[in-house]
Amino acid sequence: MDITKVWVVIAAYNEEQVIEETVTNVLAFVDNVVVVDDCSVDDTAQVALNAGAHVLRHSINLGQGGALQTGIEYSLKNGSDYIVTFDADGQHNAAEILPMLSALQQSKSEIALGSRFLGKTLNLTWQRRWILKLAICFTHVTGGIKLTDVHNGFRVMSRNFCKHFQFSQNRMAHASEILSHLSGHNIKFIEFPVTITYTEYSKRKGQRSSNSFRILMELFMGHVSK
Amino acid sequence: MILTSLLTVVFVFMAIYSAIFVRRAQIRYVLFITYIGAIFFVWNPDETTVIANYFGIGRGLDFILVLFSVAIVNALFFIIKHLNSQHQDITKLIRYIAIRDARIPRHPSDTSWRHEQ
Repeated sequence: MDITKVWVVIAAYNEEQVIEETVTNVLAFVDNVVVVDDCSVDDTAQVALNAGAHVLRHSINLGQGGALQTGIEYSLKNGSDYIVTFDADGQHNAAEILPMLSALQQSKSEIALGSRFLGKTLNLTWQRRWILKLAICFTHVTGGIKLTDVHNGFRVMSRNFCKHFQFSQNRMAHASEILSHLSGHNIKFIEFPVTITYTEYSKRKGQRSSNSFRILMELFMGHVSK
Repeated sequence: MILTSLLTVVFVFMAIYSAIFVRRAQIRYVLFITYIGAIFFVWNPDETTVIANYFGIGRGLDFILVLFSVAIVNALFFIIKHLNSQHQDITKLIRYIAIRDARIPRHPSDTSWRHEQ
């Protein structure tokens, strides 16, 4: 595996407190990190650049899905063979990137999806656990795809997959959009156990449980307005 | 009489506007004929009752209200679709600028330079 062909994409919005640590952790395992600063009002872009990441900046806030797509297109332009999506807030463990990549290559699948329920989750509240379990059931019923985790931002994707799939949902519904694509096109995927650590910072920055209704509305409006 | 005249002016304006500015021919014809029909019914309100009875609705006014509701819902979805399309264009533009103006670290795989600062 040529590690120079692996790119990690991190969408960031007002993450100056943690982005340096996240980028440094990732750079310990891969050579290329691209941080997409989604119109932060703090110093996220400069901190990420100083930490050794390529930095792209949105002049308007698009949302996490939009930022990831920008990073993916940039990575493809730079000749990446594998693209990893990774959260900015320090929830994910960078040491799991390469094992996940190896598992993807061995399985000859197009995408590896991180699963906190196959792996470990630290400090997960019971409310969040129930929301996530409901989302798993919902995805199984509506999308016909059986997974153990559905809103995990830690993924490894092949170049081929990224060339044929585009996030059109700019905001949080992108995570459901990718699953719908997998189901609709019979794309081979694997789930890989990952560790998610909820810190006070990530809980404060992360999604509220009520956002699940917002995601449903985004998906609905996305379908009716196509 | 005042409301009748006012609605006539508005519908005449909309009929002309549709005929000139709506690009797709089918929609242009449908809108134009609809507004001309609306002008007819403004001046002959009793005729709506005849049509309403045909569709099983008692009063002409109710019939107009139903049609009006359908038109509003349709218009809303057209607006949402249009906004979504514009949003996608903005996204493409923002993305293009972000990638064009990418900032590259001095030594992407060599982090020792950080200690020089």
